[in-house]
Amino acid sequence: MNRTTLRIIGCLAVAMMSTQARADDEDAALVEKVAVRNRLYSVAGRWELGANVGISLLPRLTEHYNLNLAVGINVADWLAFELRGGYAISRHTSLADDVASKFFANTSISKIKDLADLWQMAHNAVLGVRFQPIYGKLNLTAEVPVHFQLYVWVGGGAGLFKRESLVICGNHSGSDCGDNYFVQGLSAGDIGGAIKPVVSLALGFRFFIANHHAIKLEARDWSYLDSYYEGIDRATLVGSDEAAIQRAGGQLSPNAGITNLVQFDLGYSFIF
Amino acid sequence: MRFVMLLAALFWATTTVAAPVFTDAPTKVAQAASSNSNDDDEDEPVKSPAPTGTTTTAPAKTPAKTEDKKPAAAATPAAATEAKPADGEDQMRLVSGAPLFNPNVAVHIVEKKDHPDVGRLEAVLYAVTAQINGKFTQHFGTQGGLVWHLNENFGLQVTGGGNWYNEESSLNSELAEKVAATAQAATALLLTWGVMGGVEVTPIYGKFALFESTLAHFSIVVSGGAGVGGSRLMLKAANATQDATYGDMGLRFLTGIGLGFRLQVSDHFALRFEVRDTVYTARADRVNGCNFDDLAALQKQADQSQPLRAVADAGKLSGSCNWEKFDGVDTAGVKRSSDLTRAKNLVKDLSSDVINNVSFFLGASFLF
Repeated sequence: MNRTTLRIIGCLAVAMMSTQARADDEDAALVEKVAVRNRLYSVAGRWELGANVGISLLPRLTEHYNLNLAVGINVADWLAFELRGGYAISRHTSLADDVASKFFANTSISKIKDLADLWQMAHNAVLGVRFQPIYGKLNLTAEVPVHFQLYVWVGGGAGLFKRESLVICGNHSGSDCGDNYFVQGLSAGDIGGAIKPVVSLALGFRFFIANHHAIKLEARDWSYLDSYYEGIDRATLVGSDEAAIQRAGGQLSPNAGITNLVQFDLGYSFIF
Repeated sequence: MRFVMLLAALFWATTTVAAPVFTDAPTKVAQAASSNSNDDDEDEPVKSPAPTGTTTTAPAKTPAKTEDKKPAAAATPAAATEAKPADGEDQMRLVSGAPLFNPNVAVHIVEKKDHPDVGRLEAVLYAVTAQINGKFTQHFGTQGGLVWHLNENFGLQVTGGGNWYNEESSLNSELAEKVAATAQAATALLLTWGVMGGVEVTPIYGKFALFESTLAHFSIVVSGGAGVGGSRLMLKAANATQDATYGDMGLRFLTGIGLGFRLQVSDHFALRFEVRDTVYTARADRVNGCNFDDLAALQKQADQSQPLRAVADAGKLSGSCNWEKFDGVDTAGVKRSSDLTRAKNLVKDLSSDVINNVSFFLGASFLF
């Protein structure tokens, strides 16, 4: 074996190693490419029907259990439009009841300012866009890969609301009031319509459990305008309707702001 | 002639390695297109036969897309010297043991971690921590931490930091203003700082794609630990002329659990999004270390416009009572002894609670 032979062998060895490395890199790139391209669950062009249950993440004075049905169309793998509607079971929290009873027992307060964030959502319907550009897989155990989408949901619509005051009561006795100022229905008066515009935002995961079935977990915010009366003379308040409140000097608060109802939603979707 | 044969043998060997048409691949692809695999890839109708080492001309039943007809290995010498495979052959080609050119193949790729953690130290800065269940309190803070990854799925963790904003919530203020009611002292306890040690487990690892291209790797992080923290309580709310005043409520034993994502940006950098529940017991039996008797004695002295030091010098206070906190005047010129009434009432109406401070942690980490 002379110098020429060694030179040829050396060149070929280098070429072989570089070719091997390049082939490995290309294989790895191909694996990644195929893994991204070939989604196991592609939803583009497919309709879906779903049901969701939402519970309040931070109930302060009100709590809601929102039951929704949803129909959506995935116009692409990364974009969908969805119509949601349903009914929220709502009520005052125990904290709210406690606040009310303590207020009625306390006669030292002469001017009544109603509390904020007491509107309770009942029926609701929103139309939104779901932006779902992230598709991924994770291993729950070594042998159970789970495919998911991460999405952001933005939309708006309307809700039917009701409101029961904690402190405005024209005919209370002791620490109880069986006749609180109560707003419900379509004719709500100056305090604002009981039908309010609603903006809803959500961030969530959709886990595919089969080609036609998915489970959704999301945090959803419902935003709507708040309104309440303040400056009511407690001594002259007789009755619990809006006219009585205004006769007692009640005025709508100029700083009512926006109520944010944040919920955790658990949902199921059937994808056609 | 010997040189030519040697050259031909080496060239053949090179091309064989460069174009692994039918090779039993290493575990780069953990679940290849095996006919009886238990993986979810089973759902896809892979038509390829098992590797036999011989070329087959059986076409796949699903035509390949145009972009799929360009094998990545085409640039290799071997591929360059061969005719471009037909569609069927192309789809049969095994790369790392799987027919990756077949558009029907979904590859289970999550088992291989591009950025292993074992043996590495991770420094984490949680730039913002924000309480998300603040009914009567609201906290915002900054924390730092170290994680020593003993293996891929388990590490030891130390986390600590302070809440640069710790105040009673707007609801508490509203209740005080409108209905003359506030939360119990123990329920409104504010956490000023905390240090915790514990473990971090990453049982779930995954990848996701943004649109159809960028791949990212993530872990789901579960953490738990215990530690100690400082607490305080608002004695007087701020008004137009005076800042809020607070009483020190002492050290608290903390426990915590957390759940979150760690998004691997590169080999050394990661982003963390976590939710942590810090649990601590609150018992409002002392303010600034002074119990009810201490506070009553101090208030009696203050009501008589006598120096508070006299009570301390007379040995009428418990050893832990930091009476200086009620002595003198604050920056607005208001006597600090005016907090004694509120402090005494808080301790008199003894309250206790177990507080869950659920916070969102947003941070970045560097892996050494």
